[in-house]
Parts: sequence; C-alpha cells; structure tokens
Amino acid sequence: MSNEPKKQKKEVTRRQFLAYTLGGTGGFLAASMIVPMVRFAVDPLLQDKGESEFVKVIALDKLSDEPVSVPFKMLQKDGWVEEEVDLTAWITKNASGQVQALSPICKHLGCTVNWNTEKKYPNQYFCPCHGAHYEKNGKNLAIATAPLDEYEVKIQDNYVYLGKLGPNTKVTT
Amino acid sequence: MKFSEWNEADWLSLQLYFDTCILPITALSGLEAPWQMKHALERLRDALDTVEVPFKGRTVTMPAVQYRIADEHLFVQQIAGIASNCKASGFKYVIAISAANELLNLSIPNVDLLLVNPDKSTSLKLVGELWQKQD
Repeated sequence: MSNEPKKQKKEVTRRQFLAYTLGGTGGFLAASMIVPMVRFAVDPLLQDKGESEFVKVIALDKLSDEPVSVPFKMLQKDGWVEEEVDLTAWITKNASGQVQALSPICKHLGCTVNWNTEKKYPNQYFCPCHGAHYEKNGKNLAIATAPLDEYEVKIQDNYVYLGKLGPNTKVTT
Repeated sequence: MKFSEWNEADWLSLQLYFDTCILPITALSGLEAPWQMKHALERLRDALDTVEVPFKGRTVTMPAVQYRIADEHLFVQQIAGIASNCKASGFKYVIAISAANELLNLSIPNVDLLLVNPDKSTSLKLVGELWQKQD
C-alpha cells in the first residue's frame, strides 16, 4: 500500500459548466445587440472630418475694394442631419488682391448688417436693430463686443471659394 | 427670435433689446382644403422670413392667429386687442405679417405696421423706417 495522498482531479461540476455556458452565450448575445447600437450612435464622431468643404461663390474679377453681398448655399452637417442652408457673405478684394469674406450676422444679437446704409456711419457695416457698426475689415466700433466673423477663403481658377465660418483673423481686439 | 426660443432668465436679461413683437396672421376661413392650408402656412413662413431673419436680434415672433372671423370689424377688433396686449406686456412696436391678400387694405389699431406678402427689400425698408421714425 502506498502512503501518498490521493491526487484530487479538478473536475468542472455540472453547475459550473452550465453557469459558464449560459453566461458566455448570454454575454455574446447581449454584445451582438449592444455593440452595433453604440457604434451607430457614435458614428458621426468617428467619421474622418478631412478638409473642410469649400463652395464656389463668385469670380475673382467681380470683386473690388467695395464690399459686395454674395448669397450662396452650403451643405451643413449636424450629427445625422444634413441640410443645404442659404447663406450670405460680404466679400472684398483689397489692392494687394487679398480677399476677405465676412458674415453679415451682427455680433450683438444676431441681426443682419448692411454696408454703407447709415448716413451717420459712411463706409461701414451697420446693424439696423441696435446701431452696432463695424469697419470694412469687420472690426467692431460700437455696441457689439466682437468683430464680424469671417469665412475661410480659397482662390482657385480665378474663383472665390468659401469654407467654414470662424472668428475674424484680420482684426485684433 | 421666436417665442419658443426663450426661457425666463434670458427674457429678463434681454427684454430691453427686444422691443418689437411680430404677430403672424394666417387668416384661414376653415373652408380651405388641407393642401390649401399647407400652402397658406408656407406663404406665411416666407413672409415672416423677410423680417425674422434680418431683424432677429430685436423682434419676437408670437404664435400665429390662424383663423379669421368672417365679420371684418370683429376680426380687426380681435387683432387690435392682441396688439394692445402685446404693448401692455412691454413691447414698443407690433408688426402684423400675413400672406393673405384680403388683409391688404385693413387698418388695425395698435398695429404699427401691417405687411402683406412683403418681399425682402420692402420689409427691410418699412421696418427700418418704423424704427427710425419712432426711436
């Protein structure tokens, strides 16, 4: 007779086997439903933004030092919603050929500014709502606390293309 | 801005700047077919855009008066009463806007400007003049 202790076999009990099998299957089924839903929900965040889209708006030779109001359409994406919106920009080309495209939206409360319409403020953008006025480069002179925003500008084949709207880069406050 | 875009805190702090109330009037009779009502509302929306967009920072668009009373005198009284209440609530000006041509020649007490099917340039001119005249 040997005195060595009996080696106990590590056996999986029926209860453990069922728990592992059912747990694994349940987890797999739950993941197969949840993962696609989460992926769907966050999809817009995962999309490669790439270079911002530019829209062709006007021929370069139609521009001068005098601001011209140019209407254009741009596709705007907000999460899952894509829609074409009507926009306008005040565009100028200075003596050195530099093009600037300003948003017409007043930085005070969002009315639309116009060029050279107020006798008191000649050659300025003027807001008819509360009298905010701006220099030709968009610099705020009164009422509004920030300069007019400007669109990204790209010149290609003698045409002006406008991109994203952002803070005015020509004006230092 | 539309009435639905406001909350109490914003209104209390900005009310001073928003002195003009826009009262849209669809003026339906109830006899229209659904597609005609849809067109009437679309035309009203286009008319509203000529004022709401350029003057967003000074105007508040109220809910529309959708149906008109057949009796013109009573209808005018109804609109005049609403306009009077708008002024009593703090607005300095009331601009009524409609796409219904029947309203073209109406004179409505308490309404400072009635625009019927206006184009963009007409609205810009008349609203600007209203403010300049009385500011």
